Amino acid sequence: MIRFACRDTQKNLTAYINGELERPLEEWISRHLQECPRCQASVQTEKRLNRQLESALAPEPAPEGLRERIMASIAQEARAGRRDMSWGEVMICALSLSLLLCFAVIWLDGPAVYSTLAEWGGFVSRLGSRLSEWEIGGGVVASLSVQWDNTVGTVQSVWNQPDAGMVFFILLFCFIAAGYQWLRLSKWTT
Amino acid sequence: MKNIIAQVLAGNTEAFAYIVNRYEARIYNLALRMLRHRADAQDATQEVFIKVFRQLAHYREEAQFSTWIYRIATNTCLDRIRKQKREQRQVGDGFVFPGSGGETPDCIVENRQLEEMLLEEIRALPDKYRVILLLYHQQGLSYKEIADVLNISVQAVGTRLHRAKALLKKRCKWLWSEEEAEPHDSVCMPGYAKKPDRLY
Ligand SMILES: [Zn+2]
Repeated sequence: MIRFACRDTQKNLTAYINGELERPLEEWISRHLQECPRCQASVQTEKRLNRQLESALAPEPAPEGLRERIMASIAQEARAGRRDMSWGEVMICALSLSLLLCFAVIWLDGPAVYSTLAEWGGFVSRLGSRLSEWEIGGGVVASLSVQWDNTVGTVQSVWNQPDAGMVFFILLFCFIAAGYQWLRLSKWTT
Repeated sequence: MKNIIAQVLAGNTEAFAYIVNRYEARIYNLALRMLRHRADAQDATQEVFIKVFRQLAHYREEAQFSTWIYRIATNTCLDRIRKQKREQRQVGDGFVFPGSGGETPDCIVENRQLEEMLLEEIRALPDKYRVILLLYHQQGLSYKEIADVLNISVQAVGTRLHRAKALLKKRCKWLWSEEEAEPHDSVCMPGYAKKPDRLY
């Protein structure tokens, strides 16, 4: 019985001396200490260790010049000047940018956008035929222009799907958010 | 503090000096006892404040500012220790404490020397015990505050602090003998021999 009491007291001794125990346990240990010289000795040892720790760990003043060094590096940080945007800010920026672009596209009207794309394709194929006249790599360019037409065709058919606008918006959003993170990691934080 | 943070975020770098003044010595002393060398502690302190400056915009007011800054400080020290250990492993054999060759000290031991020995023992504690010992006995944080800094339960703080001190008591028997009422600050200790060398 007494051994159990001692074990529980020893286990909680640090917290007891630090005043971090719940009331009932604290009172129980106080009572045990009054009748147990061994545990009392442990309290003395612990308190002695605390005194030793206190004097060994007594804080020293920070070294001369450290403050100036820190403030100089802070000033440099501030000059470099780019405060990282928080995730929330990144999200808001990406959201507004992609909304803006979506509205721009809607305003431009889908068909107008891909007819522009098709015109670029036409330019490539014209360039291809001109080049093939001159016999410089015309074949490659011609096949490129065919691929271009195919791509534009795909875009066109996707665009005609319902919810294509939503998909476009989400893709744009992810692209901008990821792009920002990539830029931040690759360039700004070195 | 709220006011100061707002000023720093608005671009007033000088306001940051207030934060540095207030925490510089505390962080330096924590780093000094977490790491081995003074130069390291200075570098770590500087690193902590740069991180604080960079992340100030992320500071949320649910956490106390001191808790937040202590969290950055402990993480910075622990990262440095991990890096040093990695480098030491790459070099090969570990570093042996100077002067721990099992010699018996003179009969009259200076207080300061005893403190140095105790400090060596503290340095030899496992990192997760040492950090709690320092936060409690050097920085004066409560169990609850330490739990918040390290993101562990109050219970775990109690257990680790208890283990840390049990280890110290076991290893520092040479500081005093159990029977004596007073520590052996300047008394000869017969049969004293320092513990075997340890790799750090
Ligand atoms: Zn007892």
